[in-house]
Amino acid sequence: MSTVVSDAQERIRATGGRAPNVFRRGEWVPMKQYPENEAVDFVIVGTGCGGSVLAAQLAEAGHSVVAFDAGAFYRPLEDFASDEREQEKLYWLDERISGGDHPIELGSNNSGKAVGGSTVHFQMVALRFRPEWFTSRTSLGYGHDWPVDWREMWSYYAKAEDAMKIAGPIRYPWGPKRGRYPYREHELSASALVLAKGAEAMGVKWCGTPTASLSAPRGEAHPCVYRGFCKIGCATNAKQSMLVTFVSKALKHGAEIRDLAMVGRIEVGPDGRATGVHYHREGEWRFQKARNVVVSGYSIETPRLLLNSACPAHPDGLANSSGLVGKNLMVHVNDAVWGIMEEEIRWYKGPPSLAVCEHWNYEDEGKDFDGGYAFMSQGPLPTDFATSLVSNEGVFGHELRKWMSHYNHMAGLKMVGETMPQETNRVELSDETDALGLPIPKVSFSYCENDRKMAKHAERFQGEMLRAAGAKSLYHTSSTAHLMGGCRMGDDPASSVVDAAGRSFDIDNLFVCDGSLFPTAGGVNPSMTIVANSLRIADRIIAMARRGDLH
Amino acid sequence: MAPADPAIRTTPFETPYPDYDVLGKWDSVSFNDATRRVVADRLQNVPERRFFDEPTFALLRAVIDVVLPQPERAERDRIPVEAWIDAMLYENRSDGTRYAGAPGKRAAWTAGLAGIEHEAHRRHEKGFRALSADERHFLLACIDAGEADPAAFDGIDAKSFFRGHLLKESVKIYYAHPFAWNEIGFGGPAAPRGYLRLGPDDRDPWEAREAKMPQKIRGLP
Amino acid sequence: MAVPRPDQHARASRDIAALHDARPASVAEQPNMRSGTLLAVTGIGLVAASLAGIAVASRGGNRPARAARYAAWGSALLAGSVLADSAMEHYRGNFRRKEMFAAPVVAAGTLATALATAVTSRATSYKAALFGGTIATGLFGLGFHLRNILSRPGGLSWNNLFYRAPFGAPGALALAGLAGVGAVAADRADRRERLGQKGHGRRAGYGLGLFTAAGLFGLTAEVGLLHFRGAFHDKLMYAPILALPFTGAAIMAATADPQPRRRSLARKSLEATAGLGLVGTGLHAYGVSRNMGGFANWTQNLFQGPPIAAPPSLAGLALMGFAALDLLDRHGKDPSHGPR
Repeated sequence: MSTVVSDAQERIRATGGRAPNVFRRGEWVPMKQYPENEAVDFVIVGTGCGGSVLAAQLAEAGHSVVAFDAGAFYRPLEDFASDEREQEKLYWLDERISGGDHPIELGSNNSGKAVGGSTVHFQMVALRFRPEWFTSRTSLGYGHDWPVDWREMWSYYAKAEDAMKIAGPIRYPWGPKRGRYPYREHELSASALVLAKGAEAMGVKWCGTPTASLSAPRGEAHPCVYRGFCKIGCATNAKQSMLVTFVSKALKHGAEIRDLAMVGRIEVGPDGRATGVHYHREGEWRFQKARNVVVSGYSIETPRLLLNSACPAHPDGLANSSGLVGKNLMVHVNDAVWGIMEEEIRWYKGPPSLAVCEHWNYEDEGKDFDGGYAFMSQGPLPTDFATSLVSNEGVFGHELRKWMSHYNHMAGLKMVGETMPQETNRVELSDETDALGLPIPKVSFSYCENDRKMAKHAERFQGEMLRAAGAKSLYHTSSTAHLMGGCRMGDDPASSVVDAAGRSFDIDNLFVCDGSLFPTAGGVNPSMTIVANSLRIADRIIAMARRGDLH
Repeated sequence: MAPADPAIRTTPFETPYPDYDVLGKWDSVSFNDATRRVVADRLQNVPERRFFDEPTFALLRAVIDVVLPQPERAERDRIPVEAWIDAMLYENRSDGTRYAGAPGKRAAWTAGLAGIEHEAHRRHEKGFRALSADERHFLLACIDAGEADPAAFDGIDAKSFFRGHLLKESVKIYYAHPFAWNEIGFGGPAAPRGYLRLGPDDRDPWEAREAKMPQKIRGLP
Repeated sequence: MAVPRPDQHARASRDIAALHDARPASVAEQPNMRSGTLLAVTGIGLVAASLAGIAVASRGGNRPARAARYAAWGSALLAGSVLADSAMEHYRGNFRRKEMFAAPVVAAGTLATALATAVTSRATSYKAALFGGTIATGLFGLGFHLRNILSRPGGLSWNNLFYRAPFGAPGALALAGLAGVGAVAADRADRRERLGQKGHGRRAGYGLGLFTAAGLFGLTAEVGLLHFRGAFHDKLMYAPILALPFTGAAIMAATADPQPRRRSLARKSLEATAGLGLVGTGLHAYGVSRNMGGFANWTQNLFQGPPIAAPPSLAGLALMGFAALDLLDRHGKDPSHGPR
């Protein structure tokens, strides 16, 4: 579907030895290209927080890399409009079936379809996992341990934060000491000050949110202009999405990106190892040979591709001898409390979540549930806010218009709450097929008792804080955000899909590298953890290659 | 929420931003060409009816006029929400989610609108469009309260159709229109220029000036 | 290709009932001044103040001593920088408090007085009194700015230091006043020295030197804070952080013991500082141009980008330092050591 803005969704752009220059209107950067019939070192499926990071690091280390993305290759400066409807083009809107007791809404809040993945429209909240979460089973008694030490992960967080020039506070008030963020925190918006005021009234710590939006210039990228359209694509390039960071880096180091290229199946040779991928581009199915295949499609598309690549040698799908591919899908509880302030907040200005409270991620006393949650100040755009209002409150008529005319006086606090991994929450293939003939994924999700207790706790606590900040006429909305899990990494082939390097236990030249690796969800937005983990996996793969441990 | 008593007539909506016109910024640095193309397209190219037949489209329009009444606007200034609903169904656009056991969008809308018409006949023995304004509002409130006759809705859940399809899609279209940005004082397009003054009660010269407080919302403390 | 605004007649409804339920005017009211008006007013203020100062002085014809001229020009540059900077920053703050008008108005008065001081030696007591008022305004400003910082959640936090009223800024106004007082003092001292009253020049030079050094150290903190806020994203942003304290130390040394080598080092570093002020102005202008929308988006970038009006204050301080050195050059030896 082409739009009035550009034909990026209609015509491939990364071709003919060049790819779009994301920093300039109408300009290009050179791109290396690889023949399909010669095996490249790595084929990477997806260019989000997992794929693009790996592509950049592996290409930098001298490997030949081709990275595929089903979405378009945009130049934000000219392809992104200040318009919610137009920018839906960044979401994964292909139909998926959502079931279970609490079916999740898919498309906008948890998936992206563009080179750069969902980071092109993510909210840029750049938090770290609490150290204990990497051993949540051992230390806290729930979920599963990660197969990696927290100190190693925290050192990679620092690298990820530097690569994305995160603007964050000088002293972070929770957890072990971390180094200073590379860029300074942003000015607090009025909506962020609501959280700050409430937190101070309640005697709880708060701070400016570490945010993946530039607070000062960086190379050709402009600093933030506080236009507030972050969640539908940054037209300033202040947002340090994968598109303007690792994708650019990957191209510079000789990786090839193939946009508008949907990978449908991984081919497995007679020796049971992956030989390449079948992908659909420019109206036809094609095949790219590869020595190693990395799947980075996120928690729905990664299991979908692995399951759809079933073959006689792997009848239940690739990497699925544990039977866990697609299982243990997690989301974040994204419930919110909203209220009306006397003063004008005008929350459409600036990055929407500029203040954060991680109190209940680090405090274990006084909780009747496992896991933790963070919550942040809010700044939804009009249709985003209106849809959550009507679907939760059912308000219509003149009352709806009146309610919406409080838009500039609204403030809200929204949680990112850790759900528990459950095998019954999963991604499967349905019997229906999409336009390309690929089976449509079916997602099942149900909250467990613990998830609900956490939501209740957060509703009470956020409400109290909002009231302490001076908000009146409070009400509550429910939703979910983010996806985690589906291809858990671990040390035991019986209880995980891949090892700590993202390498499949079943097929030694098949890797997974994205948010689906998470054994637990953590009470923070997942993007920085995915980037940090991908940087770590990249280092491990590069080390393997040096040892001659790769195909 | 219990359905509202039709006897309580609500006051009509009035905008707190009577002198704000977001399109007044058209030639300023708040608009870039990408945005101009999108907004011009929305204002000039209202899609023709292609999916619904004429009577159903008229019913849809009548329902929209209850969901988002715009009595203060002349016909040519009205935001034609129904036109984009029809276009979405004609183009069979997905929003990424189909709930298990629920029909696709086309089937849901067809059954949902038929259900509203059935419900009108069941309660009042006449069509929805023949009802008074109060009766129309009350009918939709009953559907939202889960009091509709399930048989009328041909197997779809009336309340989830009402909130999940009808209300949701309507506000997605309505509040994406510049006239709606005006009435809620939304800054609107903001690229290349964003905002300078971020604090409470702080406003840039290119933002809407609030002339009075928004009206009270019924049922909220 | 530009897309024209579509031909449509619709607007939000304009006929509204009486403004019932209105909020207190003090909260909802905001000045309706446009950014263009502000720039015009600021520019006119700069020019008018300059013309007024020169006009007043043109009737004098009593040319002040060289040191006094240096200090007065320094004061004028500092005041001009404060006028432009405070007019814009306080406009950004929507002139929420009436006191916020004080800074640009007093800066304009200071600019006029300083220019008058640079051209004629007449009416020195009035000028000294006016400069004294400037210093007092600057000190009050420090108090207001501190209160503004502390009034937000977080109190004395980095975020508030970065983004609330800049704590050091009113100091520049006080410095403009000090430079003016210095100019008057330098002129008087010079006359007394010519009458054979030794020691006055040295004392005036000593005072000006110390204030220059103090100003340079204060400015280091201010520039340091703001460039730190910008994460020193460009290595050139370190230049003033290194140059200013060095120059401050050099002029302190020259003031404490004005031997020729120290004076020459102080002079060279002052020249470098003045040059940095000019280069910095250019770099800040470049900074504005490379922000989103460049100068076309000036209603945002002149305010959010690096302040173009700030670096000239470096040159102003340098001129103040030259005045001190000039006095120390000629009268630097302690009179007890005998004639030069």
